[in-house]
Amino acid sequence: MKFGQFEIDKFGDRFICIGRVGKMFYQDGFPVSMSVLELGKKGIDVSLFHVADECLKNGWSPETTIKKLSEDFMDDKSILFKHDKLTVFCNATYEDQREIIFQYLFEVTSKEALESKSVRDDKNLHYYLLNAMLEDKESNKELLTEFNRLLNDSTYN
Amino acid sequence: MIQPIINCILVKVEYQTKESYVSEAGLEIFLDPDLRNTELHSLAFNQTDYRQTSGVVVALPMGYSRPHYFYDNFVSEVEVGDKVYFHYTAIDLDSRIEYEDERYYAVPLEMVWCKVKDGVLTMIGGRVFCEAMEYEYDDIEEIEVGGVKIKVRMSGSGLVTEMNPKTQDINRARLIHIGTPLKNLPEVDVVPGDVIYYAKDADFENLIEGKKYFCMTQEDILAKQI
Repeated sequence: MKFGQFEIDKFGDRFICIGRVGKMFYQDGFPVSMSVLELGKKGIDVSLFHVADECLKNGWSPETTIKKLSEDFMDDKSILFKHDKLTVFCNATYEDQREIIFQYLFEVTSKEALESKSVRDDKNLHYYLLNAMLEDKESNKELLTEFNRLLNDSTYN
Repeated sequence: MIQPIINCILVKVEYQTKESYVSEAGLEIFLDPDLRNTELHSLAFNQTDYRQTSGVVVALPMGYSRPHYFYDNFVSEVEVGDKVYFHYTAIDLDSRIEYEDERYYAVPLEMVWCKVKDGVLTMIGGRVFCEAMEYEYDDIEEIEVGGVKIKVRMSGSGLVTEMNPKTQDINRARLIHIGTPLKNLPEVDVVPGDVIYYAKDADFENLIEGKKYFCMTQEDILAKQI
């Protein structure tokens, strides 16, 4: 779904903006704090991990990314800015960053999602599908394969 | 003299932000240079339009820290006295240093796009500059409205579907400047003048020496037109 320039998806019961906020901040000078406020009014969360990820992909170092995002939120005390979580994210390896994003979006670890026994009953069904749709990566192919295996398994039919 | 410790160069700029800004409606608005990214500022102006994005290098860092891949592979080409262009957020209150009645700014090298020395532009840190290309559709028709001829695109049933058919090409640009790649990264087989296809969202427009360029990394170049 696209809301103006923003890329928004539904994860469980939550609407989360997963794209374009970082680009607007990095390229157009539109503050992240304002995006958070404006989208918040419409009940949409902004994934700061995706914002940081966009900045890091543009070549910013973890220090610069943390500094610039912290400065952006400095003037607006109404937003709860989780500095520690962002620091951990920015300094993590690429794989760990994907895991942090996965946990934020789906509220379970990728391991838990893979090991989960109930596919039809809980929201893990959506986790598999959504994650596979979000990015075409090797890890997602594994998830999709696992998902198909579970679906075809007679015990769950 | 002062010298930055790690990863930053010290630059001297003419101003931090422009004193005034002329809106699209022609209204001149005067700015407080010490103002932060407040709501008013952000709503009224595009920050990239009035923030300073170039300066003269006055000191180089004592060294480079290694936790980030950029500094692991960075080839230092900046020298004192060079004019450098950088990201618009590089110049702010937090990076300001006041020394002997002069104002300097510490700019991280990962934010520097290029240097200009004796009129020669050299790219820094594996960045490239590209020029936007315009795409014109094949099915453009010219119609007359009120005595004025305009170019439009029309559907089969005769409805005007597009009034401004000449649009900026998406993901395609002409390469203008390319420099040394970062260490350990392969050299990209493109030369200035090539038509290249770039990654999504890499079209970051910057005004360099009076010309508008897309600034992107060499890794953002996905393909070239042969």
